[in-house]
Amino acid sequence: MSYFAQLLSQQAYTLIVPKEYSQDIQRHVRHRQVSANINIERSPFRRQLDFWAFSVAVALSNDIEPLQTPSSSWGVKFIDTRWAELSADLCNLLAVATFHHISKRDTEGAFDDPKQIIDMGNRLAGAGCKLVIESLSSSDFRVTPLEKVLNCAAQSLYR
Amino acid sequence: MLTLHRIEIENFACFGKLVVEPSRDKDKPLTVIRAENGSGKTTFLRAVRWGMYGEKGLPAVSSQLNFSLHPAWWRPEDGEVKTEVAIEFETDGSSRHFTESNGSSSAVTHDTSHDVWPHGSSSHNTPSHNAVSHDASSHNGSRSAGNGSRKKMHRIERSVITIGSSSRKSDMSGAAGNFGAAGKSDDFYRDHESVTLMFRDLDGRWLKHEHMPDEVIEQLLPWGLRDFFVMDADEATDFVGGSENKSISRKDYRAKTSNAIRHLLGLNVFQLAQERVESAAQNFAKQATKAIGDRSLDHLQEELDRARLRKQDTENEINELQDQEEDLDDKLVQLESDLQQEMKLLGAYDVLIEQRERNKKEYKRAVDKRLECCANLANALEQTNLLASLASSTVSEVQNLLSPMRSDGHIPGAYLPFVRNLLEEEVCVCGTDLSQNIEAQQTIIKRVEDTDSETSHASYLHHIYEAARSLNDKADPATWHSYRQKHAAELAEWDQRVDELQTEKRDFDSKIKRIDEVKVQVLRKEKAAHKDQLDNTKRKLATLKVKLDPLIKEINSKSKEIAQRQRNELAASDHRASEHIAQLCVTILENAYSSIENEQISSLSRNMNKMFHMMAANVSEADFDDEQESDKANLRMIAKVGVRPAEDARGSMHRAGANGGGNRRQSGRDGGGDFEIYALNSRGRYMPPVEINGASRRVLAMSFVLALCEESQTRAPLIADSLLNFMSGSVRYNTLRVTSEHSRQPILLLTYADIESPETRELVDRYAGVTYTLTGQWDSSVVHRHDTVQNPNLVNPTGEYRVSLLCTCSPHEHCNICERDWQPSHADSLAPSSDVGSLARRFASSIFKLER
Repeated sequence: MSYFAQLLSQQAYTLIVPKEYSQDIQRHVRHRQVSANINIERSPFRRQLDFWAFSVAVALSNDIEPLQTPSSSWGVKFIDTRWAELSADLCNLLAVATFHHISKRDTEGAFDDPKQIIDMGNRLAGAGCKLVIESLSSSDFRVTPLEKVLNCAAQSLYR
Repeated sequence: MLTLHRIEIENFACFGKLVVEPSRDKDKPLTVIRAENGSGKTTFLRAVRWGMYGEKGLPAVSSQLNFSLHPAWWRPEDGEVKTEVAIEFETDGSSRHFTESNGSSSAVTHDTSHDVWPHGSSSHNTPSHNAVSHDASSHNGSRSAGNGSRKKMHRIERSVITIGSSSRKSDMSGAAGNFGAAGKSDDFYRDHESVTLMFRDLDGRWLKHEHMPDEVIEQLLPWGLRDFFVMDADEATDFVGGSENKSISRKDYRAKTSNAIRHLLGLNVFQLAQERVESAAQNFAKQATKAIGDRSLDHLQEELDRARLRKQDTENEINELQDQEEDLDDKLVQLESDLQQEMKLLGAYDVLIEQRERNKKEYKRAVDKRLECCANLANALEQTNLLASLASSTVSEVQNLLSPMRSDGHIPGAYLPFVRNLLEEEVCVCGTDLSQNIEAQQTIIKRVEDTDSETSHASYLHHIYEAARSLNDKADPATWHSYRQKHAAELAEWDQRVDELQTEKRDFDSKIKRIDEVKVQVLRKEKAAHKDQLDNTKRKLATLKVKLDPLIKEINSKSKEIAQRQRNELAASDHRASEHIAQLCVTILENAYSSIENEQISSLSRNMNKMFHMMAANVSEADFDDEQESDKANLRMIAKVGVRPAEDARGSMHRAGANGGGNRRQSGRDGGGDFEIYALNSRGRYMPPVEINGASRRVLAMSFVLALCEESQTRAPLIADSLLNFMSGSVRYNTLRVTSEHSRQPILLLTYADIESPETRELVDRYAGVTYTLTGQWDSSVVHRHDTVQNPNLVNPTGEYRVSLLCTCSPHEHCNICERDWQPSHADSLAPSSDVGSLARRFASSIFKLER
């Protein structure tokens, strides 16, 4: 287990997404579907956590400023880390992103504080998910949501 | 010879009033009445049949209702209307077109022998002679022609009154008439049917014939031979098993064929004579037995008589069962053929079902594969590679920031635990004892504590650096992109495959939907039922044949015994002599009959084969292009046709079941053995009627009719409807040519399509002495509107009823009147502003025969 994975697993932390996109996010997550015929193309993300992680990465890729704290004003909890194990790579990413943000802004902050790292993750996810939802909601009906989100990823990669 | 001079029809179905005068020109014997469907061709034929034969000449609409004779425009509330048909014909002594021997010969043999006119004189206004006196010769079984110089004009008039409901109450006191088919039976009925036969005397006056008209007509044109005089080609195909849409039993068509042959060739006279002499011989034998006076012999004779009766009954039963067996055989062949057709479809059905199942499996597999591709693509979203690649700029910045610190050794921080250990022992790293130097000890402790804090900080930065390095190592956008491309391409392929399979499935579904599986099941059941019935009949037949053999043996043995004992009695010698003579007569008659039958049937077959090949000459594949029954034999496949005794046919069909003489139909039943028309293919195989297509059956029937007429030297008119239906190209041309050349007075009811080709028109020009055109269902008001003339010749010029009109225009001539109805474009071009005078003259000169 990596250092940050260990660090972030010592305590339960709440993962949050913006309230306004909560419904849209759930629509594109397979674990949230109750129908027997779950359609991967309509719901490209397996879990909300995957959507959350993808949003963090998109925010970083597109240099989107993280949302402001406190997250309670805009966010809604979807899971806490007791029930969803964060991968080592995701933990590394969150730690690097937190360090990057603090060092870049030259602000005071305890970047080794796990709560701070998760909070940065929530704020980045909140900022990135807007772009993801927008790309998913484009009106081209010939393209499936899966293709749309993959296009979004590709565009973010090569921007 | 019988020649039609004039046919007058008034108020019959679609006809108002029309007169047809068939050609009597020897060089141009053909009369063509062209008419499109629905114009009245068949009605014309029915009118002639009704005129000749009365009610039985009409088709039965149903068991309760009769065919409607009244004009189409008539309504029951109009009161009564009289329908009338009159036929004028000429007879002379040269023909033998009737050979009926039913004991009523006197009715026509001694008729008006004083009416004589010289040979070769004109039929109209010419003194006549005993037209039917030649009947006597035919009754004698002679085939010699009568006196050709004797001619006589006849006129048969038949009329009936149809009475509407308003007139009915007052008329109902009389006998009830026939109710019509149209409308309610209460609406109208037919009454006052009358038929009058007249002849013309030397002064040209029509006098009433002293004999019953129907008897005379039956003698001249027997009902059983109507297809030889007034032919509906559909009905004529009954000789060869029925038309395309009708199948009749073998027993029935054999009976019809045999009846025609026996009557026209005069064979029935021999058969009757043979039966009578045979009966006389048996009577002589009985008398001989009685004359001997021996009781035991009498008893033996009684037993013999009973055995003969039983034998006759058994034979009748066997014949009946053989008929049933043959009908069942035919039905089975027909069912087998239908079943084969359906099975072909069903075979296709099975294949289609199998293909659809395969398609289903393939479709499911394609959908699963497609889903797998989607899942692979979705997995791309969860890959660390993607996250690391997306965050690569951030990660790189962090890595760049921390790299110098690492290079400088600031991170990770150095942790010095041995310094703490030395301090606990109060020793400096340089070895100095610090126990006495508290100040120095405190300074070192502080320095160590300060260093610990920095070390922890540097250690954390090291973890950040390692995390960044790890992420950087995992970032590979090119790999992610190619992963995505690969699975996206696969998905596109499976998308296309799924679409193709869906299209295939729809195709299979629509094909399967068109096949009627239920029909096949019904046919299979029907076939099984018929098979059971046939097996049952065969079992019964076998049982009867087993019974018959002992009976024949018993009869033979008793006959022998009686004969033996009779021979011993001289007193019976006279009677025996008579019996021997009678037996000899029977043998002679049998031999004579057999010889004549063989000779005439062979000759008829040759003639029929010749006719058939004349009609089938120069037939090419192109003539069969538009044939609908492509699975049936056409003319090119028929190599030989003819007539043969039914026993021969049965022998060839039931050779396996034959049981010597017991299987042979007994002569004397219905006046002798049956005959049937046969067709052989090039390998000499018999082709049952169900295997032959409609056009070929017509040609077959027509060649039979013409050949039999020639063979029997029958000289009578032939009015034929629908003759060329289902024929095309050379067949149509040949049939028309052969009929024109070999029929005495052909009157053909043809459609425009029958004679539209230049070749057939040339034939009509060559052979037709008279041509007419029937134009159907004209509304008189329409005629007026187009022609802008009030034509006095127009049939029923007032009112709005519809009638069929008759015009004398030639088939290839453009006639403004008759072509208007079936060539609307021509009608439209007939503007009222056209030459009205010429149109009016055309009306006046050409068409409507109003006066009697």
